[in-house]
Amino acid sequence: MKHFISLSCVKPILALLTLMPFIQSYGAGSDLKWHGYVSQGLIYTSDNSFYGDSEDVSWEFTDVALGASWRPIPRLQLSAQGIYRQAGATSRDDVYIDYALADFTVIQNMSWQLGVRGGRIKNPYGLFNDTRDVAMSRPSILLPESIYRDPIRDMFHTSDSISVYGHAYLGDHLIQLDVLHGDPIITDAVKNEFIVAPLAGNLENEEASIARILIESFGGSLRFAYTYTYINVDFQPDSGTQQVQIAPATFLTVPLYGYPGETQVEVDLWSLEYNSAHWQLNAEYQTLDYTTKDVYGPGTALKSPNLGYYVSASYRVDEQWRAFIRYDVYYSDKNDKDGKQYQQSTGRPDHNRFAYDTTFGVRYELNKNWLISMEYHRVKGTAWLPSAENNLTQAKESWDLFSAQISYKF
Amino acid sequence: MRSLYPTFFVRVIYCLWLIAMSWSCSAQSSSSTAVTVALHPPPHIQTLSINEARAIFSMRLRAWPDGSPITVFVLPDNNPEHNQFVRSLLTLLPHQLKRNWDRLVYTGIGQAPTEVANETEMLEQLKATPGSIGYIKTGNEDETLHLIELR
Repeated sequence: MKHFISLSCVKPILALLTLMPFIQSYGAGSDLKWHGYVSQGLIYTSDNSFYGDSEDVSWEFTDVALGASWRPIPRLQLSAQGIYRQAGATSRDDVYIDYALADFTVIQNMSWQLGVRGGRIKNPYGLFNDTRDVAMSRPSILLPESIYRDPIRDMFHTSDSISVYGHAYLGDHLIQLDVLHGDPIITDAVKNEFIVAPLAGNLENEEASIARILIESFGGSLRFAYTYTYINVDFQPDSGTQQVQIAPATFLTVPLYGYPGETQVEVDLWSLEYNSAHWQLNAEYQTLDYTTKDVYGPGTALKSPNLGYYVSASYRVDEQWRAFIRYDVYYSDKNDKDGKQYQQSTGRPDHNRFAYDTTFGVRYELNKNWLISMEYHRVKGTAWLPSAENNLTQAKESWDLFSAQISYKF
Repeated sequence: MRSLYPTFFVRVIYCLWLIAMSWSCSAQSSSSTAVTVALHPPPHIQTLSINEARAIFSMRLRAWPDGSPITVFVLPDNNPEHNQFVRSLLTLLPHQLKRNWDRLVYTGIGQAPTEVANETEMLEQLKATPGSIGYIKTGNEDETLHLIELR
């Protein structure tokens, strides 16, 4: 199934989409519509590193995107966007195809619609995943890390996949359903989070399934969403063995970098939003379970049940000014919230396993194109810091983060 | 609340310039022979429910029941008529509607409506575009446009 989708459908669509501007120039259909954005941010931290060497003010926080969409016939939309993104060690620091998809409306009548999409698609995940790179569409500069963790962003953000979507109005409620299956994007940043010493090797045969139901009631005053995500990734260790002495004069040959195995990630995410003319209240609650099988020895299964949630309140002073406050909580193991068991068994700091982040921020929209934002985070714990940027055993438990960003979109 | 819709000074309006042939390949191939963009009253849509209007202005619905594309025109975000239309007729929050358009555009799953600078341009564009929909102040009706009541 997976290979059928990835090889037979998705890649030809990606190839076709790169030819889109040329096809369009010969076509007689409607015009190509262009869009894009540029944003530059800075991050300053009192201790620890986030998006680069932030203790000395990091500017490694840049997004540049250019995209286009085209409707040759009303039922079909072809869209693609290229992006350059830099976010410290959690990003690729490269130009790549952010999305490239074909969206076809199968059933369309005045009260409900059903369609399919194929290609590289932004995952329907929670309230903010699909627009997390667009500064204007984010409630804050950094999204709550408990739910939208930057180190594993790439794996959850897009996938080379096929999806089915539908929306229908029922009285005062708009019901939207998205179901997606395909290949998640595994980058080096994601690898760093999955493969930790003494393991070394490759991730392969990755597969993702996502389903989301989103209900918007009373003209969007209330929004409720539930997202279920399942991702499976196989681990293939590098070759190499070592001799381990298990008894006097008895040695055992074991692999140096772990055994072939797999990691399953299962996520339940509940989202709630309230909107009024001046207020926006958000809360999301997520359980994310990693189960690593056979990697540490045939027949072994290591479970890591993550838990994260946040609540936030945003106040629109006027059309231009907005202020918000947020409290965000993340635990690497919901059965060991204070990290004491982890500390005893590994000797590593307990604060590597939790993070409490209180954030205040303001944003100012100059006009529909320009946005300036600033925010301050007071963080206790180091659980969501990228391991690629920090020696987590040396990380400081209580730290501050300040960020500012200017962005332009069209 | 709903019974008040027709009495609001802003009314939903759309012009439906039906091209004689609907969107088929044969029509397109023969369209080189002077397409007479004829106005074909009565329009095939007499009324819209509030949810149908929301689906159209939220850019979820891409085509009219006959399969022809819907072109949506809106005034700028800071325009008072736009705000009144979105709040009172669609009963949506203008900034939420805009957030929805941005989501469609920047994720590639839809398009934003076409923004026109002012009401004069709105009228011109509506008249010039078959299958388009927009809104104007009551009193600025044009006989070539068809007014719709929200039910």
